[in-house]
Amino acid sequence: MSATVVRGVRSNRRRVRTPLTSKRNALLLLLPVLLLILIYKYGPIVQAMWASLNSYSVAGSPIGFVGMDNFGLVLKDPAFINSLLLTGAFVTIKIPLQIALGISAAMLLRRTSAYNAFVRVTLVLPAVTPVAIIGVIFLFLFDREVGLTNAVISGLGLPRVGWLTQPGTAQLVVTLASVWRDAGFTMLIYLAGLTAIPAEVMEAAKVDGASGWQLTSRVILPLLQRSTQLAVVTTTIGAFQYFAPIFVLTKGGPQGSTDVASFHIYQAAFVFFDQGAANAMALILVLLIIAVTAIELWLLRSRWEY
Amino acid sequence: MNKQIARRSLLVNGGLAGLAAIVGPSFLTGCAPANTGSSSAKPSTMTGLWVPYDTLIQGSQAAMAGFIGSNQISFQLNTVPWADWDRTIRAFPQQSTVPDVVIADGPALQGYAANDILAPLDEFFTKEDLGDFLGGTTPSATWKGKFYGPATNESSQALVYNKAILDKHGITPPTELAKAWTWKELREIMLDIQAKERKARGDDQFWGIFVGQGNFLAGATYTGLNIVRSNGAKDSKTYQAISENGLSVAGYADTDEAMEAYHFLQDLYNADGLSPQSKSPDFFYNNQIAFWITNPDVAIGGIAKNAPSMNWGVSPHPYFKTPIVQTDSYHLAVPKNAKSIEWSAKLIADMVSGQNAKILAEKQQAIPMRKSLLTELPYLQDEHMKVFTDTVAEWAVPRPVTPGWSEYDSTYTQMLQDIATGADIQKTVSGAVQSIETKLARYKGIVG
Repeated sequence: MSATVVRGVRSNRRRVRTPLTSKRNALLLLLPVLLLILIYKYGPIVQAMWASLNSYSVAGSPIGFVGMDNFGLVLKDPAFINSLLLTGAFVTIKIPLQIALGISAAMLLRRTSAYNAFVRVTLVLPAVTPVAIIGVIFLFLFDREVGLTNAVISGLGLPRVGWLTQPGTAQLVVTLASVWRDAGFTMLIYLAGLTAIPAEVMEAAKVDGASGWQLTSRVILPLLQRSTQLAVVTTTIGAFQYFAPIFVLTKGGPQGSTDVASFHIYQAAFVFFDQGAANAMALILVLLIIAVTAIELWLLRSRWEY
Repeated sequence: MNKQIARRSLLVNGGLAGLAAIVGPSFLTGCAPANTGSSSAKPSTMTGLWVPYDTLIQGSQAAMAGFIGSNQISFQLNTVPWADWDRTIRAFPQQSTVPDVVIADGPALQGYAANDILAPLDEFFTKEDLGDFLGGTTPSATWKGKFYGPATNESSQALVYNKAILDKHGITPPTELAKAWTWKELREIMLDIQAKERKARGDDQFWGIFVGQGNFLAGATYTGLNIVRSNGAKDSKTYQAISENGLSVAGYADTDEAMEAYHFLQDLYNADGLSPQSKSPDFFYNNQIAFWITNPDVAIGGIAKNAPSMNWGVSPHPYFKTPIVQTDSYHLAVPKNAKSIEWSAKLIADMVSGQNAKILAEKQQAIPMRKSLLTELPYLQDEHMKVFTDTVAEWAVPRPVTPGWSEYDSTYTQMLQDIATGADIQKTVSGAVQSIETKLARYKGIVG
């Protein structure tokens, strides 16, 4: 009897731990993909870290280990520091502008209707348009001589503006292009957030006599904190990595006014072939992104559950 | 039990096989050392990497037809967009398979040679060949006394003009080099025509001149530097533009003469407003510009395509003190790790010799790479080509010869563009010179 029980237990264990369902076998089956991710996603990061600690010839062949020298050199390079400051300014202007636009659009378009659906699609369209094409669109809009904007301005009898040839206006155009592209995506985040707010909470606030403004500022916006956290973090990361429209529109100019960090790093790596410095700059940028997003995540941590 | 072992073994072996299949090839490719041994055996197939320009491809295919036919070699020609070109060539040393023949931009050749990317080809060309190649094309292709590849053709630049507009204002530009306008003469003419045209048209959408091919204001290094260098005498540092070893521009790019030329350029785009602050050469096709400094490919090809009915002419490139036109074009070269440098070099030598050199130029309707052919091709004496051809024979010089061409060119081009947009000239030039000096200093160990 007991022997039968033991056999029965064994038999059950065998049935439960068949090779196809055990964790070890699952891991074995996942291993090829995990290795690919490791090699192609994290491998280059490790490679970049190693490259930043080495010196390279102009031909790209390693000369030798230099420790933190590349970091010291790039942090003393006024052009790189300037590119970081420009990036900081860009991020600081872009985030509030984009969040304000995204949240306003979401509030205005939150009700379901054919008109709202159409406007939502229109607003999201730039987010799915290739960034290089956005650069070309803005080139047609803001070219000094043939751009649509100056056609209107000169039609009104006013002097043409060198939108892309003067530092201040070029920075403005580049920021506009970025916000225009990404505001639709931010709106989607907030629309999802608005849908998640329970109707009872809104009803209760109305019953308590909350006005429209009170409902928005005291109920809706606080409850959208998690959406804000996501929107701010994704916007920050995107802003730090902003590259393609600058490549098409200004190539870092005029007079270095749009030479943001990502473009500066591209130039160092692929135009000036300074691999050690380019990798050091890229890692500094990554560390900055991590630090800024960590602060944002902490500051915007959710204080309310619903 | 057996079934379980079989299943487990299937999983383990299958998993490992899958891993090997997925990761293996990438490891093999990634880790394979570059092919360093070059064979002298005749290959059955050869590959080439070209820029995607139809006339150059057609000319090259016609020029190599005899060689690949008689040697029963099949030749596969691939193209890469121009924007990716430099990076593609620079990656050759890390690749196990590279093209047998590659097109390279002339000014960048010395950098590729200095970085050991290309194979020297001088033993495949006679002294007569090397002496017959045009002077604008050989300095950049020569590194430490070795020759790295002939040009597919020679470029040139001149002052293209809208004949109908100039006729209206009674202006007949010179067609002989000896009577070429100076910039000061041309400026006066342009100011006059621009004012009259704008008045007649009732708007400000007409300009005197467009400088260069259109990607950058002030014509980039290729065209903009002609203006600057021409403000020096032939033996001056302004004219030379860069030190003899190609590693310094301090004292060359910032001389008083150069600064004077930068001021002229800035006025062209700002105070005089003679040039549009826009990168589109379409203005010329649309009759919105009187003059255009460009090369024959862009002028002839562009006008034929965009304004076929336009009545246009060509006048010599204007200058300040010394006439000068920077030339050079695409070259044929061989990667150092090509499978058979000997056969690649033989093919190139055949493409630029005898009748093939003629075919290569004729198919492109371009200026040939050989001096001896300048008088043999009738189309070079056509109304639109003669000035370009004469310029090559008398005024052509290479662009600044340096192993750090990419660094020099991008920084100098950006500097010219900033000047054109109204930047402080002294500060901009000083910053650019300092930046170029730093970048070129990295080549000191290579130049020796």
